[in-house]
Amino acid sequence: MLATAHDEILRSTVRLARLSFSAAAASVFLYDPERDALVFEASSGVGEDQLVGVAIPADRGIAGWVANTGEPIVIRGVSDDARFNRDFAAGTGLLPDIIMATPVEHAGEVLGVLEVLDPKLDAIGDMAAIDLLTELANQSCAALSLLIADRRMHANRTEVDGPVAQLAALLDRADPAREAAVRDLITALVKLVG
Amino acid sequence: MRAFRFAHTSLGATIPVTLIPAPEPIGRDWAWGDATGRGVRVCIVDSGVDATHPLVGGHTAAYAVAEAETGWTIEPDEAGDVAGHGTACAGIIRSLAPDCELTSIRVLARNLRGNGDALLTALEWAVDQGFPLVNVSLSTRREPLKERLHDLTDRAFFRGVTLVSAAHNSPVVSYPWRFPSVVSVGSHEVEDGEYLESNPSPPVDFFALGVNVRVAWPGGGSKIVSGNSFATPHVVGLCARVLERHPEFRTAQLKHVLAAVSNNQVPTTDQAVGADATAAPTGSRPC
Repeated sequence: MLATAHDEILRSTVRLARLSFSAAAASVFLYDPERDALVFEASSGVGEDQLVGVAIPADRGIAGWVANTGEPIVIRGVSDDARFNRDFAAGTGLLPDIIMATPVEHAGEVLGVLEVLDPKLDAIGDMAAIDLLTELANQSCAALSLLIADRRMHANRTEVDGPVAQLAALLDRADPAREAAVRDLITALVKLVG
Repeated sequence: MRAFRFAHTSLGATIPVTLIPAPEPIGRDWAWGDATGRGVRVCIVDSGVDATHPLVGGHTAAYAVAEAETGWTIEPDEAGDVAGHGTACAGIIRSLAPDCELTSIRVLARNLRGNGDALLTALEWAVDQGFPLVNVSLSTRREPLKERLHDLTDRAFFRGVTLVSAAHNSPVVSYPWRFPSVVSVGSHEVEDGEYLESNPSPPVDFFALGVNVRVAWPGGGSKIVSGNSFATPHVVGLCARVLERHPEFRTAQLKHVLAAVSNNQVPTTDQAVGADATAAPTGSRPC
């Protein structure tokens, strides 16, 4: 269920990013520390999900720059960049002219990169668009971090020999006549770890 | 109405000319005249540089930060620019100081957990090499690195190495641009690469062109980009001109001269009456 929620947050993020800017496509890469790579996790629009699972080195390209620096960027005129076109078009069939990218960050740590391809920026302006995209990325990242924290809490609860399970078993076996003692114990625990 | 909204950008504020301690007005003719940055060594800490690009003009030494088992090292590099950003900055610097000597050091790290260390390693190397000017169009938000970076920027200041550092595009705290020992740069949108604003409200020291800038891009073409990281090399180019004319200047003198020739100075009320208007820098901001 948690993996589904994780995917759903990412899918919703890229779809919202694409719709917000009437863009041809939007995609999100997350950093995989084991491979030192940015992994294409979800996309919306042209070439949707054709590249999901593809990994690119974290020190290359526009996504690599954004991931390394934590700085958002808008670049116009990408379509005349032959090297970029070859690699990207081979995977999606899309030849974008404008790329807007922003880091997906939590507590100062870059977790990935959110990109929008061919956004319509004339009405809103480049920098207001960056502002909006950055907030979208922040919101997505906040949701992901809550999910990760929830996953950790869930693991603690379901671990058979974990402290939560041991305490639950102990309280389940407690004599009803010692209810006052159980309350005192809970009060003490709240003071200790609350 | 302002058309751009990233952080650390010009609000169009002016500074009274009396903020510049100078018995005589300091003009651009005196500051750099027809200087082209000849002989001034400039280090670009970025994604590498495509030295074959016509707007960069060749003659660029190249190094890269590499992660080894023993830690981070500096190696000669032949990979060029792996992202495009460094070539953009190099082209801007050479547009203002075509005869400066460029050295590129690539800092993008595959291991994102270590990219702050890569930046520190590159800056330490640049300071040890004694470059009078270093273009730092990036920063780190990692608090554990703050103290080391602070010590390093102090060492650069005392050594005569001027770090010109981009303010972050988002309203966040990052380093080294917030340290007073560096020249920090944000953006304005006046379409003039030599238009400079002195900021009366630090920590950003100056604003330079950083919105809709046409820049060199690897492969020979150009792109249009925006961000404080593209304002920074404009200031570096102007500093290279100053250093050709006044090679003894260090960070403190460069900050003073840049403030003295900034375009957003306004005369005080006393000076406005009967003052020699031709002696003061132009204070009007193009609309």
